[in-house]
Amino acid sequence: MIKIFHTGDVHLDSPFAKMEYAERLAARKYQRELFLKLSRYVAENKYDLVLISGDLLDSRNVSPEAEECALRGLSEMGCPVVISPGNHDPYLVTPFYRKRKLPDNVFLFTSREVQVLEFGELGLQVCGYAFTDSNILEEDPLEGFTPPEFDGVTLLCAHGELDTHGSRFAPIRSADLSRCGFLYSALGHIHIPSIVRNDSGVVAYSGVPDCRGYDEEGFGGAVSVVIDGGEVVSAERVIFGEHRYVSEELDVSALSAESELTAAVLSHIAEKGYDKKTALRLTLTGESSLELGFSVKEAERAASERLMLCEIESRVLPKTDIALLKKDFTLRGEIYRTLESEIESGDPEVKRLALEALRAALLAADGREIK
Amino acid sequence: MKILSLNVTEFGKLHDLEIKLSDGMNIIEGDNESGKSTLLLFVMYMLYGLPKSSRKGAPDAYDKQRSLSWENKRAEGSMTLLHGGRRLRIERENTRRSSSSEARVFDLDTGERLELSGEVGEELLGIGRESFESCLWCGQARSGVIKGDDLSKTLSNLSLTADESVDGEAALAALKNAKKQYKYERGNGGIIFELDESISRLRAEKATVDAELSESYSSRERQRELEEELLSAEKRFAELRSLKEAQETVALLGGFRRLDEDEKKLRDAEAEMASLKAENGYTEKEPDGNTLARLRMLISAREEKNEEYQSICLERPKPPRVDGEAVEVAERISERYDLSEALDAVDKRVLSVKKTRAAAISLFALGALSAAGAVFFLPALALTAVFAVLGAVLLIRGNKQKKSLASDLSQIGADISDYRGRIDYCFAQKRVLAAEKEAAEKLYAERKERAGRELARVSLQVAELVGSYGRADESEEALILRIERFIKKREDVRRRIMLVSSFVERDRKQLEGQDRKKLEDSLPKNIGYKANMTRERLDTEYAEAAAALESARSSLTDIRIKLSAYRATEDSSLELKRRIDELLAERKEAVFRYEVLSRAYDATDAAYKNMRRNFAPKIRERASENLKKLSGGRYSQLFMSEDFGISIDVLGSERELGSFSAGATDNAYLALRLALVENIFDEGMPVFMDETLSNLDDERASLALSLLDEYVTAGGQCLLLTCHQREADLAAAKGISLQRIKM
Repeated sequence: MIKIFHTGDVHLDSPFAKMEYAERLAARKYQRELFLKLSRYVAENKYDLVLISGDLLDSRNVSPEAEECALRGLSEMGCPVVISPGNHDPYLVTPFYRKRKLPDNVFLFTSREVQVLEFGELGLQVCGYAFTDSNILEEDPLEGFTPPEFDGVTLLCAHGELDTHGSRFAPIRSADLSRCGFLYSALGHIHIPSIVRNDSGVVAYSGVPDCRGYDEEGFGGAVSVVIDGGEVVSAERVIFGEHRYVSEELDVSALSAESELTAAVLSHIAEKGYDKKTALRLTLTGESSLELGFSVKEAERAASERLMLCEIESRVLPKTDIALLKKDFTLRGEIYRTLESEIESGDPEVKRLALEALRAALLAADGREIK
Repeated sequence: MKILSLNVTEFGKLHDLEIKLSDGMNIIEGDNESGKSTLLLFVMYMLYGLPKSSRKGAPDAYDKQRSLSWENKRAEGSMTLLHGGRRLRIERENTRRSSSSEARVFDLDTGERLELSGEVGEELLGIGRESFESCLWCGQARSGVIKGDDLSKTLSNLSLTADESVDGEAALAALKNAKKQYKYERGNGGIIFELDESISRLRAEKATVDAELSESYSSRERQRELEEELLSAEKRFAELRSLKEAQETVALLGGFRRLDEDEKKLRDAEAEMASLKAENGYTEKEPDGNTLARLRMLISAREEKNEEYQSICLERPKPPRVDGEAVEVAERISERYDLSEALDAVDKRVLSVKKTRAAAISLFALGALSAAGAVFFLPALALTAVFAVLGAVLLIRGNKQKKSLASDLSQIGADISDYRGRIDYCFAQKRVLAAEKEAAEKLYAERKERAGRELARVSLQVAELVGSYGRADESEEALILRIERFIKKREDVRRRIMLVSSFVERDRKQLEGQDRKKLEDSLPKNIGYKANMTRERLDTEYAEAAAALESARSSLTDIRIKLSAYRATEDSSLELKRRIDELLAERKEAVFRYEVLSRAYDATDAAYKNMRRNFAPKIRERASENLKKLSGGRYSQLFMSEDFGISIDVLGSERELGSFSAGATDNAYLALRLALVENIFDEGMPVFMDETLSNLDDERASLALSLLDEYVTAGGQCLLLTCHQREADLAAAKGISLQRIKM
C-alpha cells in the first residue's frame, strides 16, 4: 500500500492585495503556518510520497520567511517530495529552486520536457515537467510522450490546464493521461478541487490549501491518495484551510429605506454564520422603488468589521410599473418608450443600464434628487 | 369612465356622505372648508389609495393627513363608476390608523369581485396617480397659486410634457448637471476625471515604487549571493579559527611538551647537581666560591703567615735604636754600678773634684787671703804658700781628679758638666735599650707568637676547610682544583637549573588553567591541518578571513536593511494597488453612473423632443381652439417661444402670458388641460375642476362652462367644485344640463 499526499498551488507569500497592511502580514503568516501544518500532517500520517503540482511559491521572489518556511516544511515531511514548478514559480527563474539548498528528500522537475523520477523502493515512477524560464507554456508537454516501461505504478505530477485548447499554461489533455496510463494524475493550476476517475485511474486537482479569492469557493485542502494492488483505492480531499470566499446574492426588494440595508446585510451574515475567516462578495439583487438608491459603502464597512473581507455590489433594479409607464402619456411615459427596447433586452447589462437610466430620468422629470 | 356615485363612510372631515353624480356635468357647491376638495381626495383615494409621498408640484390638497378622518384616522368609503361598459363599485378602507388600505372592486352587474394586481386606478384607467393628477385633476385656480414665470412654466410644461409639474428643460438640466458631476462635457472635471487623475497619480507612484521593487529583486539576488558568500566566509573563518584554535591547542600542547622536557631537564640538572655533590661528597655542605676563595685566601694567608712567621723567626728583633755608646757606657757602668750608684760614684768623684777644687780654691782663697793677708801678715805668705801649695796640690789633684773624671766621663761621652745627664742618658739609653730590647723581644715574641698564632689559626682554618671539603690524602692543590671544578660545574648546573626552572615556571604560567587532557581531546581529528602552515601565515589568513567575514556580514546587513526598506516598498506597492483597485472599482461605478445619466439624458432629450415635435403642437392647436372658445374669439392662438415660454396671440400680435390677467391665464390653463384630456384619452374621462372658474368673470365663466359642456357632450364627465352659485346659474342660463350638488 502506498500513501500519497497531493497538494499544490500553495502560493506562499501571496500578495493579498485587497487587504490592509496588518491583515496582509497576518494572511501571509497564516499561509506559512498552514504549509507547516500540512507538513506535520504528512509526517504524522506517514505518507510515502508527496506530490506538489506547482506554484508552491506565489512569485519568483518571495520573502526569506517564505523560503525558510518552504524549506522547513519540505524537510519535515519526512518522505520523498516531488515538485513540478508552475507558472508562478518557474524553475529556471525562481531563486528558491536554483540557489537554495533544498532538502535531500525533495525532487524537482527541471525541464519543459517530461522527465521521470523513479522510486523503486515504493514501486512507482513519477512523470512530470516544469515551467522553466517563464510563466507561459503553450505546448502540451505530454504530446508524444510515453512513460518508460516500469514494473510498478506510474504517476503524473504536473501543473497545467486540462482539456483547455489554446491555454497558455500547459494545455494537457485527458486523452494523454489515459494513454500514458497514469494511475494517478496529480494536477495543479486550477484552484477548484476535483477528483475524477478516468480510464487509467484518477485525475485530480488538489485545489489550494487555503482559499485566497472568490474563484476558490469552499475550504482549501489537499488530496490523500491510497494506492494498493496497482489501483487507486481511495482519493479523498482533506480539508486544511480555515478561510472561505463566498459569493452570494441578497434580494433587497423588501427593503423600504436605505437605512435598512446595513441591518439586512449584517443579518444575512449572522444567519450564515460567517465570521472573520470568511470573505464575502455580496451582490444586491431585486428591485427597489425609484426613491431608493442603495449606497453600499456603509453596509460594506459594517460587514467588513465582522468578516475577513467584504465587497458589496448593487445590482438592484429600479422598481417601475412598466404597465403604467407604457400607457403614461406624459414625458415620463415617453421616456419609458424611448428606453423600452433596451429595458426588454435579453442582455442583463443593457437592461440594467436602461432601467437605471429610466429611474434617473423619472426622478429628474419629477424634480426629485437623482440617485 | 364615469363616476356614478360617491359614498363616504369616513374620510377626512367627511362622514356618511353619499353623492350621486350625473355622467355629464356635475357642479358641487359648498362653502369654503365644506369638504369639496376632500371629496376629490376621496375619489383619488378610491382609485389609488393614500399617497406614500407627495411629489414635487403636487397640489397641496393631496395630503394624507387630510385624508384620514380626524377622529379615528380612518379612511373608508366606496365609489361606483362606469368603466368599459361595466358598473363597478370600489370599496376601500385603510388599515387602522395607517395609510395602507385595502380596495375591493365588484362588478355590480355580475356581482363578482375583480381581482386586481395593482391599484384600482392603474388597472382600470391605465394611468397612475401622477398621470391622473396631472391630467384629470384641475386644481384650484392656477393663477391664484402659480404666478408669473412659474405660471408660464406650468402651462409650458403642460403643453410640452403633458404634466404641469414635469419640466422637461429642468429635467434635462438636472440630468446634465448630474452628468457633469461625473464628467464635464468640455474641459476636465468631474468625479471620473478626478478618479482618473487619482488613478494616474497612484499608478505613477506605483510605477516608481515598482521600479524600486524590481531593484529590490536584484538586491534579493545580491542578498542570496551575499548569503552564500557569508556562508563561505563563515565556513572559511570557522576552518581557520579551528585551525588557529588547533594551532593554539597544539601550541599549548607543545607548551606542555616543552614543560615536560624542561622539567626533565630540570630533574636531570638537579640529579646532576646531586651527583656532583655526591661525587664530591658535598651532599650536606658544599663549597662555594667563597669557600674556595677563602681556602685560597687561607692557604695564601697561611703561607703568608708562615712566611711571616718564618720571617719573624728568622728575623731577630733589631736592636732598638738607642745610643749604643751610651748603652755601652751604661753597661760598663752597670757592671759595677747601677745608675744611682754610678751617679753617686760620679757625684762623689765630682764632689771630690769639686771639693778638691774648692779646697784648692779655698786654699787659694786662703792663700789669696793669706797673700792678702801676707800683706799684713807675711807669715801669712807662708800660709799663702802653704795654702797655695796645698791649693796647688789640691788643685793639681783636683785637676787630676777632674781629668780622670773627665777621662772617665769622656769614656762615657760625658763630661763633668753633663755626666749626670749622660749617665742618665746612658742608663736611660740602656734602659731604653733594655726596655726596647725587651719590648722588641717582647714584641718579637709577641709577633712571633701572633704570627705563630695566626699561622696556626689560618692553618687551622685551612685545615678546617680542607677537612670540610677535602678528602683524605688529598692535597690542598688538588682540593682547590677539585673545588674549582666542582664550583664551576655546579655553577654550570646551577645556571642550567635556574634557566630550566625559569623555563618551567614560564611554561607553567603559560599553561596555567589549561587542562592537557582536555586540550588533547579537543584537538580536531579531521581539521585538515596543514602541518606546514606557519603560524604567521595562519595568522595572516585568519585575519584575512575575519576581515572577509566582517565585510560579508556588513554587506549582508546593508542589503538586509535595504531589503527591509523594500519590504515596506513592497507593501507600499500592494497598498497602492489596493487603492488603485478601489478607485478603479469606484471609477467603474462612476462610469456606469455616467452612462446611466447619459442614457437618461439622451432618452429624456429624445422623449422631450418627440413630445415637442409630436405632442405639443397637437395640444397647442387644440388648446388654441379651446382658448378661442374660452375667450370668445379674443385670443386665437397659444404660442410657445424658443425658450418655451407661453404667449398668446391677441388680434394678431403675440403677447407673453405674464402680461395677461389672471382670468386670461386661467383660460389658457383650462384650454391646455382640456386639450390634454381630449388628446390623451380615447374614452370620456371625468375631469375634476376645483374652483377652476373662480377667477373668471361671468362672461368667461360662461364661455368656460360652454366648453366644458362640449366636453361632456363629447362623452366626458365634469365635476366642477365651487363655492359660488354663479357657475350653476350660468350653466343653467346657458341651458347646460347639469347635476347640482350642494355640500
